[in-house]
Amino acid sequence: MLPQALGEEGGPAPGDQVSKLKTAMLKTAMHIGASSVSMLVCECEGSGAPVVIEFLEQPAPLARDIFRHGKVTAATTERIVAIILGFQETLRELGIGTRQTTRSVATNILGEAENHEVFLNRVRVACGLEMETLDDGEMTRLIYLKTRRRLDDMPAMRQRTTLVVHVGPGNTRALLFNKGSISRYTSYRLGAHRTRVALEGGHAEGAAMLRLIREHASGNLTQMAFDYRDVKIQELVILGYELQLAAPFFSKAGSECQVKTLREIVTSSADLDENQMVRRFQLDYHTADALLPALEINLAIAELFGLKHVRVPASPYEQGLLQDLLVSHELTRSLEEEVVRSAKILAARYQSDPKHGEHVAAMCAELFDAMADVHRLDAHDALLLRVAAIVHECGTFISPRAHHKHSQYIILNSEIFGLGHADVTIIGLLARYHRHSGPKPDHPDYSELTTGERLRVCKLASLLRVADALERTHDRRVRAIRVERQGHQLHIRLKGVADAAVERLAMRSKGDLFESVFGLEIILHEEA
Amino acid sequence: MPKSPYINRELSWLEFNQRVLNEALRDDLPVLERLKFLAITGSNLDEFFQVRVGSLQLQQRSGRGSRGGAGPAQQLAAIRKRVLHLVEDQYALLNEMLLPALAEKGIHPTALKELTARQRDQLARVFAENIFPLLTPLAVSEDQVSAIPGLRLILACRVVDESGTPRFVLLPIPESLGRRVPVADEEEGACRFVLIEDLVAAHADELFPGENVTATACFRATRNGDIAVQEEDAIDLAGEMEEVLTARRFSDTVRLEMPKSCPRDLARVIQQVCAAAEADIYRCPGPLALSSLMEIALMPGFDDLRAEDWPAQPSPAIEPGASIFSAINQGDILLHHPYESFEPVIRLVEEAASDPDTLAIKQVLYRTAKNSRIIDALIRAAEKGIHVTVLVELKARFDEARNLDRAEELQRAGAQIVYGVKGLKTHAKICLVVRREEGRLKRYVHLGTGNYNEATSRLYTDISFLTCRADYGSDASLFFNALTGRSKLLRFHRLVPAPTEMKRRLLELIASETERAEQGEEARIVAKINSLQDEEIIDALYKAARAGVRVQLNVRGICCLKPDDAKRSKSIEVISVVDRFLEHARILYFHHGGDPQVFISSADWMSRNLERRIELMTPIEDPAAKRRLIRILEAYFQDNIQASRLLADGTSQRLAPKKGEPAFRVQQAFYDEARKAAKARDHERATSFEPHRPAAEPQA
Repeated sequence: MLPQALGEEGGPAPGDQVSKLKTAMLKTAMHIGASSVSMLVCECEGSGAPVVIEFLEQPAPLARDIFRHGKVTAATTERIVAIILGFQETLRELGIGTRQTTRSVATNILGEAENHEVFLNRVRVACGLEMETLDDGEMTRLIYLKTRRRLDDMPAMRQRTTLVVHVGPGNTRALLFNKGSISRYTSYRLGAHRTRVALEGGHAEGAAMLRLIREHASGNLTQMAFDYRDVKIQELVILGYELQLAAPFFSKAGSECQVKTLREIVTSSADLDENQMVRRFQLDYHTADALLPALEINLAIAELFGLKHVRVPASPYEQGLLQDLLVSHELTRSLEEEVVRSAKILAARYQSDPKHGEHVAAMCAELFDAMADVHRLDAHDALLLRVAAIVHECGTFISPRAHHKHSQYIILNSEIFGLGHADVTIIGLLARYHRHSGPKPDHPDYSELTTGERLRVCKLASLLRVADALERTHDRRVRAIRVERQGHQLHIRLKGVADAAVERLAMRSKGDLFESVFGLEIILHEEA
Repeated sequence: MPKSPYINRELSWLEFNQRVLNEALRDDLPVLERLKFLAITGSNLDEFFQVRVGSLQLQQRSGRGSRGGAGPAQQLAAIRKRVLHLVEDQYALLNEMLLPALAEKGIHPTALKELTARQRDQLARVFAENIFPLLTPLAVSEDQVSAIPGLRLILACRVVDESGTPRFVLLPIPESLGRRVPVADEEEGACRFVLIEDLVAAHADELFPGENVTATACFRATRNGDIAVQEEDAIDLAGEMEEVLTARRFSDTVRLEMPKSCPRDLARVIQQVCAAAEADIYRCPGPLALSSLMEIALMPGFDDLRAEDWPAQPSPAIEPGASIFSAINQGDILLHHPYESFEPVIRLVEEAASDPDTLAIKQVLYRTAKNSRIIDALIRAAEKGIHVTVLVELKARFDEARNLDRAEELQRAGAQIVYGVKGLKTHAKICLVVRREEGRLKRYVHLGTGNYNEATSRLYTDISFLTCRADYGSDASLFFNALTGRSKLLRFHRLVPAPTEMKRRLLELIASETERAEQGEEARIVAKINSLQDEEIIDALYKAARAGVRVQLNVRGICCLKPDDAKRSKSIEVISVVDRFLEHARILYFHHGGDPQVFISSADWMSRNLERRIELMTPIEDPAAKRRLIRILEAYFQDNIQASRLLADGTSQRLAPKKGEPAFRVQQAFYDEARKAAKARDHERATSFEPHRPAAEPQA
């Protein structure tokens, strides 16, 4: 979501003070989290690091509601609305329009609430804010950004095999870094709040409670052990809202925390009642509720891999998350590379010809750049096209017949690191439309898209089809292309091809979508 | 009382009041100065009875005992014994020394019978015109408890009708009239007056036509002030606070003062209507309400009977006429009040209020002055549309009424008002100004040890710290966000808040010095505070002392730590300084291996401050400011004129210059230093001229 401009729908509410500041310098991120609502205001100038102006946070039991009742209760909804209205007061004090947040997001577990749309509507009506729900892809990106910084801080860690685990409110994500790059990514339906609520009513205390948490987590922990059975993990970085809030009470900032110490903390914390937890770790009650499961799950993971120490980032979780939210939609170069690496791993898993995929991707990039002023798509779309080009043929693993449909199915049901569900859906559709029929309004998935998203799919699919037609022979016969627009024609010069009869034939069946979307006739020229 | 490792808090406070009284006993001081000290002991005792004795009586009634030490009954008995002694000293001083000394200088509080007929006629007119219309007699019966307002002078009269039947009537004396009724005098430059209660007594007959007033006696009841709002249930704190104020005026009697000469039947009636126990009665050999002697001490003229004035000096860190914001931008500013003027702090708020670049002003107000310029500025700012947030602490005891009035005024102007935080008294002294400067946000913060009160800032020693360091600004924002309920209390970068962090941090700092001493390092703690009562802190200090840490404490008032105890506190030195300015600044020093950690703080080392109040401790990192604070701390321990050394039994021993040692009075030294610095700055200005330039053209 891009910053909303003044005067548009997201502009200042009536009665807001006229903005006194050059608002371009201020960025605001708001997050409805699992157990709190927070807001960060940063001042950004040039390429310098953002300066934090304000950070506010108030507890609100969203996760408890969702996991206990399957919905957000009216009381919690109103509590969150009141908190946001308070935050908006602060924005007014800073001379910022109250609806002018750069990003307003809600935790991904909100999607599990049956009334999540009603909830978001209420926030929209009461506060004038359009909240987007964080998807899995962005959560992973955020964890990646956090980890990246940590790896940059500790060069020694980059050389080691490091597992980064984030125990979130409802899910746990694990990222395996090898020599500084992600080599594996997995996620599990195991979270601190989810566990806490699942064990409610058991009335277990102390060691019995810890046993229950382990039993609850055992299925996921076994799966994790299986997923990383072939890796010798040397470092474990543990992240999480509750954990990082409590960490200063048992771990020295920035240094290793011995697993023995963590175990002692877990054992002693298990004997505390909620008031004692609140006092000991200076937490609010909702966070204190989820702390014990968070600690125990992290301890279990450390023990699972036989580690003697773990690392907990010294920085506060929530503030870092909000800072990253302001940059995560603009994917960093290194993150893009990680996404592409993940796509290549997927393609390889389904025995898709890697050279073909990468060559198509390269030609897609040429076409994308040449048509930039016509298609007006952004860098993120370019990435989706690149990923789609790499994985578009993975369906041949099932059968070459109708492989475009198999590709879509495989893509939709696989993890591509750093991409959320919406992105993966688009990539699946691009693979679906790389051959045969173009998009039709009654096609599943495509029909569920908004008009804007459909247009994006059409534009990107048309480029993929053209590039794929040029790589018809799967032997990189067309070494490179040069693209030129003249009136209603698009001239593509094919380097290394003396006779482009095959490509012309392919273009006849695949160039149709391009011509109908852009109104340009494709003319191929040999450049031997 | 049982043997305890601590000095009893109440007795320690009474010893402090004794030290104040000792100042009034000094015949080397001008007489009105001495009278002022006597008045202070009177008003101190009033508050002590309202709060501490009131609280102990409630404890006694509820059957709650104190943890460890003596129970409430034992403490009340010990207090009475000590107060009787103190009261005796007060009146002996007044009657035998101060009144004759005043008369010698032409100030004559006079009995009516000593006046001439002409003077009596003059007073009769004053009574008829100005006093009579304000008097409202209140009939009482011997067997009935009446609603007697606290701390008011009330004249009890025995009135007899023609049949000879006596009845009893109370005449509350209106506070608005003042205590002193001037009488014209032929002696040039003299000041003669009668006390208002004497004049009312002389003319009481006039209120009861057809009856005779056969006896009168003035009395004064002190009510329990330890009544607080049940905050958890308070929907409208302001409304409930008003009720508490009314209730406090008519709550249980904790002290009843009456003259020694009070006729028996009147004494019985007074005791009855006040529902006072025998142990609550104090019979005084002189005028009641010694606190109101302040009116005489401060009356116009007679400057030669007062100490030389020590006016506040301008700080050399701030150019007169220059913007306070540009001064702070040049570096942190430390002000030592009242030697240095409080004006820059007021200017911070006033300039912010009239500054088009100000976006927001946020401030905590605890005890404010009458006609406070700061509140006026905040009102102006709010009216101009600047976002003004003020936390008005309605629970600031005895200032609730004034705080309520000003809070309502601020609210009407459009400021966001917060009436404190549930369950905690907000005692932090902090003001935050958010400005826009060249398209960026900039925050200016004032952190202090004293209240935003122009009047007390001339009388209390305090420290102000003005800074625009980003991390202090950010902490200030976090603090206000938490106070206004917009955010939970998050971890600060620099400031150390109570009740969440401060005590833990102090214990850590003390423990760190202890550890260093145990490892053979030099270790030292110096603290200047008003009260030291928290047992955990005291125990930590005992431990530090045993480990060899040099501990120097400068504690103005309550000190429950027992110094000079061979087992516990041999290396702990405790002094207390009582001089013309009330010692109020809290400054802390921890040696920290030669890289001193220096703080100023709004909090005393009392459990109530560290655990039940919102307070702020501010680390001072600017090297010059740090050095200055260390110098200030150390200077107190050189005082051999106004300082007393605390002894293990809780009493104190006044220090005096040793043979050959020069006399050193710390407040005088601070004043001289401030004056010298201001003069040097003036001199600098006189030798290098700085032209006033026209304001820059406004940018298009």
